[in-house]
Amino acid sequence: MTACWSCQAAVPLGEPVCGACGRIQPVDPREDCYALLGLPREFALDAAEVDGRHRERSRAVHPDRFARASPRERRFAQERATRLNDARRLLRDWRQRAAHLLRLAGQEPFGDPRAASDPDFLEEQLALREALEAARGAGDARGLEALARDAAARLGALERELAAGFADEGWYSDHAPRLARRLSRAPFLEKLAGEAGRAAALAGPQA
Amino acid sequence: MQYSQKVIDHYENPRNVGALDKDDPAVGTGLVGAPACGDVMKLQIRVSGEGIIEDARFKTFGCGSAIASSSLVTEWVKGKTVEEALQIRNTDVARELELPPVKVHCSVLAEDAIKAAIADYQRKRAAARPDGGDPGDGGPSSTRR
Repeated sequence: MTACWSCQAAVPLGEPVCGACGRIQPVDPREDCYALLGLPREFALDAAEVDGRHRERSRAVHPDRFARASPRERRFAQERATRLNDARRLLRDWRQRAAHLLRLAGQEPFGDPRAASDPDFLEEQLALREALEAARGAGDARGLEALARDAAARLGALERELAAGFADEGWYSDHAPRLARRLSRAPFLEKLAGEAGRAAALAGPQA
Repeated sequence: MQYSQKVIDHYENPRNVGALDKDDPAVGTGLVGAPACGDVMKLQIRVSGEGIIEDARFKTFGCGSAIASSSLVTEWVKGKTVEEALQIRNTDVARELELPPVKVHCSVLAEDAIKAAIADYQRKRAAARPDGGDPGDGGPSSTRR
């Protein structure tokens, strides 16, 4: 609960507009992306539902509606509209969504190489990067395409693994560090997929 | 973003790219990854019986700053004792290569890589002496952080 800046009435956290006086409220620092869009804190989200909530809530705070309101209200409307856009973008991206959920559970996603030691995975990544380098050097378009497809498949598998992890209701008390460690594999796979894809395109059918 | 001349030099003329025999008992292998950018860095050292690093090789998949950082560290550790090599700080690497703030994490990765290689070497030595015997040079008790 917070107090309306205009009439001091109690405003529930996440309510964009004061129920008593109708004035638009600033975004509270405690409002996470889920709260902003009025969605449950789940990893599994329906993309259409995310878009729908975003559309509804954006209409209510569209800056055009506040063209004749006070400068403060115009600022609040602009801020809400921007934050709604950010929230939609974040929740539509499974990697950012996973990181957001982990943070809400008090688990910082691993950015530090020392914290996320994953030797077997790194060995695998090294071998894949070396294979990519060899294929690129040899102009092996087919090999590069295979590597790009393989990397994309690994990313898909990682997303499914995380989805299964988050589906376990007790994840935030038992498994948060493990999920964070798994999530830290994503940037390596994305880099691999990106490089393999670009190299395959460059080595592609050339007359 | 402008790469410094030193980074460009290491990128165009990398020193010590390659690999050492992972199974050689005198070789320590450090394999580290940076989740921030998806870079992978492998750094290997071969240590003499007297605890001097006689050879070092690296293989880095990443940006120019990451390649230069690992290249520089392999240059620096050759001829040093294991203890001296443990003194290398990422800030030394960043300063030498004039890394901008956004690339300082590459130097951190290089520091982690040399420490991981040394830790691997020391682990192998300790395993070879189950009685914990005379730690001598480069043994676990000589590790000071």
